[in-house]
Amino acid sequence: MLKQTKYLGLIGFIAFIVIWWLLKVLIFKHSIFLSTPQETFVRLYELLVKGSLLKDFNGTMTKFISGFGLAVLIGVPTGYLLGINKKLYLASELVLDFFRSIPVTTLFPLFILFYGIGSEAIIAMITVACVFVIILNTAYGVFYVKESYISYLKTIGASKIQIFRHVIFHSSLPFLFVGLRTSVSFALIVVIVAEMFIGSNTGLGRRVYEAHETYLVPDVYAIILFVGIIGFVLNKIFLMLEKRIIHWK
Amino acid sequence: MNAVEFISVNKSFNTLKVLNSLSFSIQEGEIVAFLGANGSGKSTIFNLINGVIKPNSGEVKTKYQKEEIAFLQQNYRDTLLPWKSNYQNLTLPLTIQGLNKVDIQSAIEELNDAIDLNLDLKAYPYQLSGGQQQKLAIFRSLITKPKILCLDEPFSALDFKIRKEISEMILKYWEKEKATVCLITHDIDEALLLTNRIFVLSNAKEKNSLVLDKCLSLPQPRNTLLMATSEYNLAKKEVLNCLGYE
Repeated sequence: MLKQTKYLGLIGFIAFIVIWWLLKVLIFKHSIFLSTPQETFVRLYELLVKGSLLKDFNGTMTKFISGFGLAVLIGVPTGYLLGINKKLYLASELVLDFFRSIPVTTLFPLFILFYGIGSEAIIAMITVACVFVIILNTAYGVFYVKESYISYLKTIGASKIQIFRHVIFHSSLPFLFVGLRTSVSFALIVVIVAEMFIGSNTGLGRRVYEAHETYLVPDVYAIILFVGIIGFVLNKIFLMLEKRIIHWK
Repeated sequence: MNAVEFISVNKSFNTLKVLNSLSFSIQEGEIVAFLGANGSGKSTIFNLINGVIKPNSGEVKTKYQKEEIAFLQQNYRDTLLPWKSNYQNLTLPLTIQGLNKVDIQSAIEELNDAIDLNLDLKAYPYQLSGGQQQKLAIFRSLITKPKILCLDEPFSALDFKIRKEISEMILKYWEKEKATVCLITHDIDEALLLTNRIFVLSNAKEKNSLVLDKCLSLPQPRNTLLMATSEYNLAKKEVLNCLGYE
């Protein structure tokens, strides 16, 4: 059954490539705005091997990891703090919801004012885009801990720290992972968009934008495909980690 | 000193009165059963013995410290931590007490000598059947060698075979450790076959919560053949009367 599902996924992918090729051959035959799958794959290979795509990849991932890492470092402890202290959560709920609701792209000018044009502004943007999602999901994870677990730990004389270590931390992990996976997608979107518009010399966002400006259409598609692969792999890594760590779900 | 003593205990949750002027005592080494309708305060008594909650008035005295009292909760499946292996679940009370690995291992060996563990300790609770989970929860309550063992409906939703196995296991522990065992059950036969004393609690909170405190003089060891004797049926009738069934 599992093998069958795997094959279905492969069939779906092949169908997508065929449809793409048919669109180019039958509908957009003379259009320069769509390259063929073959052109795209060849160009992606060239950019990776002979071009600067790996350097751009490094640039993007450095910003991505820094921004996302900072969001985790700030978001997870804050989320636990708010989850454990309900009054503190209620006091900050409105503010958190407000900031979470602001599209981070609206804050572009502010980040440039504070950090200037460059990587720092992009990292700060990624952090802000992710941190509220991580905080709220972590706090929800604490709220939804089964009361029976805590009650049992109390009957065996566990301290608050022991209750946190043995129950709250583990029990909240499924929610925390939802927050992390959502944030990973956010972080990737923000880093690419920010690289396009905030002065950056390297990065996949910058590269795709430059390719677009110079009408290097196969390059545009090749970089889009590459970013898609990165997003896909990141999501798979998180799913794998989730399955391994949260084995009881 | 009695192992457990309740002196005019009153307990309410918000406006709901659960225990009214409850007084009783349990001697060390006794095995007793608490019977009563839902909401009569049986689990509340266990929570009071365990010190999880405090009475509104009156006094609850226990001879032993909290660490020497074990409490198997009614919703035992919801107290097994799914992220911990069966071994980690079993030894959790000892980990909480701060015991080192050597002491934990010797405690397991000791328990294994007293009762055959016969469980895959490397697996996780969700990989066990309902009966095995129940056994794990009971083993976990025995690992600290408690002086007072409170079991809230330990046989609920179990088939006859597991029920028999677990009741034999509890009796074995009780005999070996000379512990005080308190049991909550809805099954009168279970109470009559397992225990030496039965407490029946009332739901009518305007009067005293305790409507029966009966010492059983039925012979030991007990088996289902005893159920045909007139002595057994008289005792059962008395309990049923107090529960309002006859």
